[in-house]
Amino acid sequence: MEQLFEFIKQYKKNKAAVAGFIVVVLLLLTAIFAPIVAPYSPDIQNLADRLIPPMWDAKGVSSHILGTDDFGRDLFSRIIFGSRISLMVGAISVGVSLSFGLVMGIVAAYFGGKTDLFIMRIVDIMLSIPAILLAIVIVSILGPSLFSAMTAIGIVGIPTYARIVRASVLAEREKEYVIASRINGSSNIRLMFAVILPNCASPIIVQATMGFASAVLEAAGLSFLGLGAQPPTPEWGAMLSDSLEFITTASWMIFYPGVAIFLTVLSFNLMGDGLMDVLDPKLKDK
Amino acid sequence: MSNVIYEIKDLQKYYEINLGLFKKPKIVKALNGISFDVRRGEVLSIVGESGCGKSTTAKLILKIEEPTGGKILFNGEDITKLQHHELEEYRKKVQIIFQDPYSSLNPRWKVGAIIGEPLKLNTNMSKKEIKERVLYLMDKVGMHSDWYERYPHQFSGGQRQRIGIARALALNPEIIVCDEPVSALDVSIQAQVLNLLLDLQKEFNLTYIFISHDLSVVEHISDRIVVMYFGDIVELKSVDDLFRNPEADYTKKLLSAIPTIKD
Repeated sequence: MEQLFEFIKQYKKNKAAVAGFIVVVLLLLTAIFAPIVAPYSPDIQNLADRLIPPMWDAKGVSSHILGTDDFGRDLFSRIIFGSRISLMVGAISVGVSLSFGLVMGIVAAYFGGKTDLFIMRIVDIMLSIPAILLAIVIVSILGPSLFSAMTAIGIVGIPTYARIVRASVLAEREKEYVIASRINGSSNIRLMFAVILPNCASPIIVQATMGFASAVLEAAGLSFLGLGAQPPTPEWGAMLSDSLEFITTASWMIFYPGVAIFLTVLSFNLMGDGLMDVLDPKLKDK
Repeated sequence: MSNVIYEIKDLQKYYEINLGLFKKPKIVKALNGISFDVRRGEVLSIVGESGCGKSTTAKLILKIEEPTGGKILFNGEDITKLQHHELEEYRKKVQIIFQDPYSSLNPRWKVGAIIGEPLKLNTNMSKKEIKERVLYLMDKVGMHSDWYERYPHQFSGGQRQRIGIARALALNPEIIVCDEPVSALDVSIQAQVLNLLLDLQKEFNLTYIFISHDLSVVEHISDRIVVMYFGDIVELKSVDDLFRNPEADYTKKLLSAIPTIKD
């Protein structure tokens, strides 16, 4: 408990990080309570109400806060339901990269030698493949869908985590508390996951938070290219590409999903930055 | 039970250093076949400069590493041949106190968990019994029972070393290998920790293998001293004998390096 208070106190010093955290919490609440928050269903089309501008425009109506799109769907509701998809994509792709990267990194660093060589060469090979290219390959195998996009983003993220985990495990592995634990009969699994891993948590947590942001961005990018979410899914990136032809006539359709992506990515990055400040033990001891 | 607890015969340890894919690995001889014995209840010190093989000897005795050649007999049994169950039994009897009290304690664990780990892994004691035993050990090394829930970073170097000592005592070992236990501490704290080690030795009938580079520290606590130089033993004598009439040139050099106050 004491540590938690100390953590909060330190974190609060970084105002930008606090702002990021608040936006992240709001996003989470929006995603969870989307059906309550959103005034309309994201998929209901009303062709009579096509292309209504946002309510503060002269032609806007108060029943559609951010206006409607070319099928008469309420933009505000679609963006709110889109937060569900973006957060899910972020969580699942980070989960995929983290779980594989963590195990690969820790096994490579802990056992060293040929195991290390083998795993890290696989990681090098993965690093040499561009994300979009791999995504196209996966999509051409699985067919374009949100699932393919998440898988692709997850796999592309593995090397980063593997390297970070390996580096920090290498630094911890030789410390005497690990030897002490081994002398007392700890198994390899216990040494890796119970003894060493908690001491490598800080960089992993920071990377996962930052990785979340880039996963959201990449998912939007893939959907924009038509490789991810398919219509009528209210995915932010897909909404951007769908409304591209209206950029001169109905710019709100492209502006607000863009703002949503921007805010999400920015707030996660700010939060990751704040976590990095607090979790760095050198700063903490002061 | 015989008086000799360890009999070390012609112990060798070579390390191979890879210089690259196409070069022959270089062989570093850390121990060139050393022999000595450790008697029950004594404090045997191993002294020498860094790189002379004293820590390697400790690692071999603790079975952190395997020797290249030679034998280590523990109560007459060769420890290099121990298998699973026997190895567990052996590990309970031999413990270590590390040099650096900052890296030898897991920073994410509370004091209670650190001292209790050997008990958790090697005995069938319940959580309550382990806690009782840990509190008893903390009392023995002069730590307050309120500190059970604290983390290592909340303590000074001397206090941390006491945590390390309590952990080494947890399983009631016969032998404790002290790998330069005071060299990382302030001089004022060194004496406190050394006295604690001596008190504990009497109370629990311990045998210490005490590794140090500092003869003045060793003089205070040892019964016998092994002087090592580049992987060989140059002298093995009782403390009084060694300080009064050192034979090897290297020992004389070491003795002359002890700072004295001239009047």
